[in-house]
Amino acid sequence: MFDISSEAGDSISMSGRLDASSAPEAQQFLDQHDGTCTIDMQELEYISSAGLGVLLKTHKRLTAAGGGLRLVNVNSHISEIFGYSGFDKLFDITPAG
Amino acid sequence: MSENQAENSHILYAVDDKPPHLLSALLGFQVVALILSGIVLVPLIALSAAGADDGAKNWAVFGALLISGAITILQAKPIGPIGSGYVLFMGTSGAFIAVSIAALKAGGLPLLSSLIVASSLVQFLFARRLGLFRKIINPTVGGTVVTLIAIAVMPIAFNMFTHIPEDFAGPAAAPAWTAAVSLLIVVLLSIFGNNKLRLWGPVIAVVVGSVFAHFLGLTDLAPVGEAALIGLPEASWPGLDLSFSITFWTMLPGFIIVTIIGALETYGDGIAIQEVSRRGSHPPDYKVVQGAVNADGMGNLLSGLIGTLPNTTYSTSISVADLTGVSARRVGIYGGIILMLLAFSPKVSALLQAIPGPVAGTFVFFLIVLLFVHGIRLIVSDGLSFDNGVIFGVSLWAGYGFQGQLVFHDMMPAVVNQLLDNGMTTGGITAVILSFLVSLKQSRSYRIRVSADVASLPEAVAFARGRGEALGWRGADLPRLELALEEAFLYQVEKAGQDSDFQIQIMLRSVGEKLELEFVSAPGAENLEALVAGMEPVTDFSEDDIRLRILSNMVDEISHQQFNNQDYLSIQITPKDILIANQLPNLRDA
Repeated sequence: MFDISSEAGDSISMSGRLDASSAPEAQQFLDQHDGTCTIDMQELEYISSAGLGVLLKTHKRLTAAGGGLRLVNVNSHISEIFGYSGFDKLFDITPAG
Repeated sequence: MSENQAENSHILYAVDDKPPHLLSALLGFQVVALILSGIVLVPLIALSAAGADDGAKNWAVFGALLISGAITILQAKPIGPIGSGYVLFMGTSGAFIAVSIAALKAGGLPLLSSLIVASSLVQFLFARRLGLFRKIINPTVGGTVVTLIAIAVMPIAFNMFTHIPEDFAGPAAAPAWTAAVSLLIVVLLSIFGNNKLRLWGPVIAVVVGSVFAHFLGLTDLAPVGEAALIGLPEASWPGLDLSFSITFWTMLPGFIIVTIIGALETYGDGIAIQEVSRRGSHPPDYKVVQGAVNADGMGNLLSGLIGTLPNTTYSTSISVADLTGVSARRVGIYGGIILMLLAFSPKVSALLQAIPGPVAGTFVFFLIVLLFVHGIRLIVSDGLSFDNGVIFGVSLWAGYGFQGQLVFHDMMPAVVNQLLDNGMTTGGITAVILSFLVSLKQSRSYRIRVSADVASLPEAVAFARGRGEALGWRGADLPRLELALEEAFLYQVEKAGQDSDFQIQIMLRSVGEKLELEFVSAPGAENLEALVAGMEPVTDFSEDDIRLRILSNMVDEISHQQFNNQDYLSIQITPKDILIANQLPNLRDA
């Protein structure tokens, strides 16, 4: 199960599994946002290459327009996946406290 | 990447390159010179041991050279799925000596030919289902059969030591001295010689031993002088025995076993030749291997039809390609042409037949020694666990016992004895049965079949999670398992494209502490193992290679074996605590 919703300010919350099944929904949601987005991944359990592709595409679009993407409350498993893919060098990441 | 691949920067002409024709012809001739003795002597030994006349021997040699040459060309220039596309020289297979002698004694060349034709058809089936059989016929089984072949054939070599011309009047010890000199030369060159001398050692031993024997009066060169330089053998085609007697059916299993073991040898050679023929790092192309095995089968079929012993790939050509740095296809084409031309030179055949018995016996002795050692290496490569040791030991001694008619021989019906008296057949069947029993002990594997569609992903993930938990995986390891499955599964979905009928079989099993996922599907174009191996450090982030980066950093092992009719993609994942433990320094060394 995957859920994505807007929170206070420019914050976006993701929960559940961001995989190939849910990636289209996530992409459609994020395409509606501009500027600098903060994604709270506190409740995100799982991410695959499809989910990373959504984040990368969004990051490139926002960066080209002068904005960016911040990822906060990233848990250890998601951090590990970022490490495998090299994305830990690309995104502004704040680990979960 | 193997050590060979790491060192293949020395390749002067790779498989697709086109070196000068003269160089190609000379290198082809070099390999022919190295393997000619084996191609000619093996059928001569088998037919002589069975008491065949000179006409039959000459015909068998003619057929061996002709078919070896033709199939060498076919290996280099494939026709459809038959042929590897690489330089794989073909020559008479020594593994068939024992079963061939038995067939020749029972029914002459016609029976032998029929058995070879029938067993060659099994090889085509084996090549087609190579992906399936590769796990059933493992190196322990193959190595056991190879060592049994060596044990069965060695007495023939010993017997040849005492072959002398009928009118020999020299010292009684002459054969012993000749054999000793020949053996000393080949052993010294093998131990102290460099790689080149080691390759040429058997040929040098034959030449020097023959000269030594000539001075002792052990040679009869009259037939060499009488033989025409160019011509056809005097004998005619022996025909096929199509009676399908009891003898045929009791002997067929032995031929099938040797054929399959020979196919396994070609399987290994098909992988090895790729390693020395291509620049850069590449996983083996198993379609090439299938092509090599198919060509080997075609060689067996044609050998049976023409009336000679079957042939197989000679590893010598792989060694020469590695040494010279030249593995261009042209070398195989020229070498094959040279072999075929030599078939039409009775004088060449007569010259090789004139090799004195003690010298030829030493050549065969050393050939069998190398075969025996190869069998041991195969067994060791599979890991000499207790179970594999039981398979090898029981099969070896069962084969030895039945070969020597030492095991309840008088109690068995004659038909059963005819089957079991061939030690290689008995030992081979024993090894396959024991290997199957051992496989029952291994971890149970779980299977699911799904459509290659993103919509099937939840079902596949649920399968992996459920079975992973059943195999004891917990906590953070389960998302890692799911991630590995998803990435490999989506690779298959991309491969399927718009094909709505594309199905994937997913298998999960434990391999020691690790979990292995295997995906079996229809063939595709790209090789995932090669793609992952070719990954460059991250310089530009792209959606296209995220999956490859995850797989390359997360899984322990990726194997992608692509055959003509099926793909086998397997990945292995290690539990996190084992990974961490392997990264910690050894506290005992602190």
